[in-house]
Amino acid sequence: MRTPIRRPPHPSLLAALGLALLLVAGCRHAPAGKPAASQSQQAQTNANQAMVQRTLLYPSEEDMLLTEFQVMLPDLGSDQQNMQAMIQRYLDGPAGDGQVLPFPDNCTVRSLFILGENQVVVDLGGPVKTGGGSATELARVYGIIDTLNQNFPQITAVKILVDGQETETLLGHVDLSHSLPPEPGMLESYAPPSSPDQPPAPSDSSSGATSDAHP
Amino acid sequence: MRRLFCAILLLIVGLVPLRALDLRTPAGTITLRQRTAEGTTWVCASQLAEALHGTFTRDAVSAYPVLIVSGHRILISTATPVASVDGNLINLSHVPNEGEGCLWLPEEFLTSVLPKALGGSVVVVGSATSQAPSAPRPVPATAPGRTSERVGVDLAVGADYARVTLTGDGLSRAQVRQEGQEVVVQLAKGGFAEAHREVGKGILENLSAQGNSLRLALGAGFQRFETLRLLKPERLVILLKGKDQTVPASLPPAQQPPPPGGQGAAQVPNAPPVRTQAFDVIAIDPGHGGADTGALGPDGLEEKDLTLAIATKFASDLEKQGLKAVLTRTSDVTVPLQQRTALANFNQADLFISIHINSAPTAKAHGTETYYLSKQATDLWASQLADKENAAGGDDSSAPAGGLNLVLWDLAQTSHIVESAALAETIQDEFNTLLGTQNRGVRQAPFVVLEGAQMPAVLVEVAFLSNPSEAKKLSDSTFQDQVANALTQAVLRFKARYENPNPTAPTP
Repeated sequence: MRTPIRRPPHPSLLAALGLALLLVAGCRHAPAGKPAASQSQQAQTNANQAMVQRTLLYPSEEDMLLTEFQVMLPDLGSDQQNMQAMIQRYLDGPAGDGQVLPFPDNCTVRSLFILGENQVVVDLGGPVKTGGGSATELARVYGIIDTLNQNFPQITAVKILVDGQETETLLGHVDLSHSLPPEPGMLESYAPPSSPDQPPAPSDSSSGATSDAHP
Repeated sequence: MRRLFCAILLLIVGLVPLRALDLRTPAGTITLRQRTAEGTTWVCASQLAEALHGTFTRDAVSAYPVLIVSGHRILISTATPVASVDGNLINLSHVPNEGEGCLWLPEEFLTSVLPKALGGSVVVVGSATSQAPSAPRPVPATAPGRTSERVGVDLAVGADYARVTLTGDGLSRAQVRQEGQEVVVQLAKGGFAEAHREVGKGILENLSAQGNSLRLALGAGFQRFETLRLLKPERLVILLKGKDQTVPASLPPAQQPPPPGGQGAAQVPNAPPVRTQAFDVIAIDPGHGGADTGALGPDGLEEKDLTLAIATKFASDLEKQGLKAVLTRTSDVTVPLQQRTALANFNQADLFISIHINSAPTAKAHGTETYYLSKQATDLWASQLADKENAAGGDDSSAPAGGLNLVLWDLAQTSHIVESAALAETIQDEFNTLLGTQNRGVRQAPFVVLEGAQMPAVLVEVAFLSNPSEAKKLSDSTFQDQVANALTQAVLRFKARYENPNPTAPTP
C-alpha cells in the first residue's frame, strides 16, 4: 500500500488563512476601534478610577520663573500614560493664580515615550513654535521638563520633538537637538549660587570615557 | 455577512505573493519576508530578531516594542517616526506599524538603525521570491575600520589644538607622559601603522614612531595636553592645547564654517587671521534677522530691528575705543545660529556678545538678564556623546548636526565658562548702574548661539518688548545709545580685569 505524499501547503496560503482567522475573530468579537468591555463595565471602571495629585510648574506672571500649581489627575495605570496626560493638561491649562500659560491654544502632546529608565521623549504638535522671547521659550521647554522631573524624579533627561521631528529650537534660542536635563535655576524657589569661581570639572568616568588633564 | 466579507478580503490579501529581501549584515546575509507599501519596503520585526539570533519583546514600562540584537536595545515607537539604540534617538521617515501579526519596520530602519546595534554597515542586497526567513550565512569577518593589527594614527589640527587619535587593541594599557618637548605614548606591545608625519609648526610639529613608542614633537605654542580613552573600538585620544598652530596644505582643517547666510551676513574668510592680543576683537551678534523676526511688540516693533540698531551703535562705540568689532550681520538677513559663532571663531574674536530683546506672555515681566552656556546641559550632552562614541563603534554619523564630537566639544564653550560667567556679571553690573533696569540676574541656559563659540560668550536680553514701558524705551534711540554704552563699558572693564589680573582676580 502506497503512502500518499502530502505536499506542504503554500506559505502564503497559510499566512492568509491565519490572518483570516484572526480578523474573522476580530470581526465577531469587537467593533473596529472599540474595546471589548461593555458600557456598564466602563462606567464602573471610571467611577473607581484613582486620582493622583500632580505638581505643574507654570511661569509666574511677575518674573516668568516656574512656580507650583497642584492638580488632581486620573491615575491611568502606567507612567507613560500618566506622563502624557499630565503634559497634555499642562499645555491645555489653565494655570493657577499669578501664573501664565506659556503655550498658545491648541498645542498637543502627539506622543510621549520612555527611553530606558530615565529619559522621556515628548512629541509636541500645534503652534508650539509661535511667539517670541527667550523667557517664553525657556518657560515652555523647562515647564515641561521640570514638571516631568518634579512628578517623576527618575526622569532626568527629556527630548522634545515637534510634529515627530527633531527641531533646533522652538523660538530661536534653546537647543532642542539634544536631550535636556531639568533646570533647577528655572524655579522661582531656587537660590542661585553667588558667583561661579571654579572652572568646570573634567569629564567624569560615568560616561564610559575616561579623561585626564596634564597641565 | 460581515464575517464573510472579512474572510473574502483576507483571502484576497493572502493570495498576493509575498516577496523576500536579502540583507547583508556584519553577522552574515539573512533573508526576510518583505512587503511594499507607502513607497517603501517593510520587514517583520520578529523575523528580523529571529534571523539575527536576537529577541523581540515589549518595554515593561512604556509597552513600546523592543528589539534586542548583539546586546543592544532598540526601542521602537509606533506613534512617531523614531527609534532609539541604547537611548540614542534616530529619526525615521516612516512610522513602524503593526499588522498581520508583525511589527513592520521600514527599509530605512535596516540601514540607519540596525547598523548602530550590529556595529557595522547593513546593505539591502535585493529581493527574491522565497518566503521563509533564513539563518545568517556567515561571511568572512572583517573588523570595521581595521586593516592591520598595528595601532592606527589619526590627526586633526586646528589653530589652537592638535588632536591625535590612536585606534587599536591594548590602548587601555598604553602610557602617556611628557618628556621635555615631547609627549610619548608607550604601548604595552605592538607597533604603529605609520612611522613619521610632519604636522606643521606651533603646537605639534611632527610625530614619529619606533617600536612600541610614538613621540609627539611639541612646538613653542604648546601649553598642555589631555588624554581621553574611548571603547568600541579602543581609542586613545591625545589632545594638545595651545595656540598658533600652522596647518600644512596637505592636512584638511578639522572644522569648516558653514557657508554665509546671504547678503549682509559677514563673510567667512578662507583662513583665520592671526590673533593679535587678548580681548581686542569683539564679535557682536544682533539676534534674529530676515524671516526670523524674533519677538513682536506694539506699533510694529520687531526684535530683529532693535537688536541690529543696538549692535550697530555698540560696534561704533567699540571702534571709538580702539577695539575691533565683528558683526554677524549688518542688515536684515537670516543667519543660521551655528554660523554666528563660526564667524566669530574664524575672525579670532576674543569675546562673543549676542544681543536679544525679550518677550513673555504677560505684560508684567520686565528687566535685563544675561546668559552664559548651561554647564548642566552641556555635561549631559558630553556624557551622551561619550556614550554614543563608545556605542557607535567609531561611526561618526551619529554625531550631532553641528559635527562636534566629544573632544572638539571640550575645546569649545565649556573651556571658557568661567570667563563667560564673569563677562555676564560685568554686563549685568553695567546695566544696573547705567540703566536702572531691574536686575533679572546672570543665568545659564543651553542656547544654540553660544555653543560653538571658542571664546567667552554671553547672550544679553536687554528688556521686554512685551512690557509696554520697556517697549517704549527700546524704540527710543537715546535708550539704544545707553544700552550700547553700557555694553561698551562692560567690555572695557572685563578687558582691564583679565588683561591686567591682580593677585586676587582670576586669570584667563
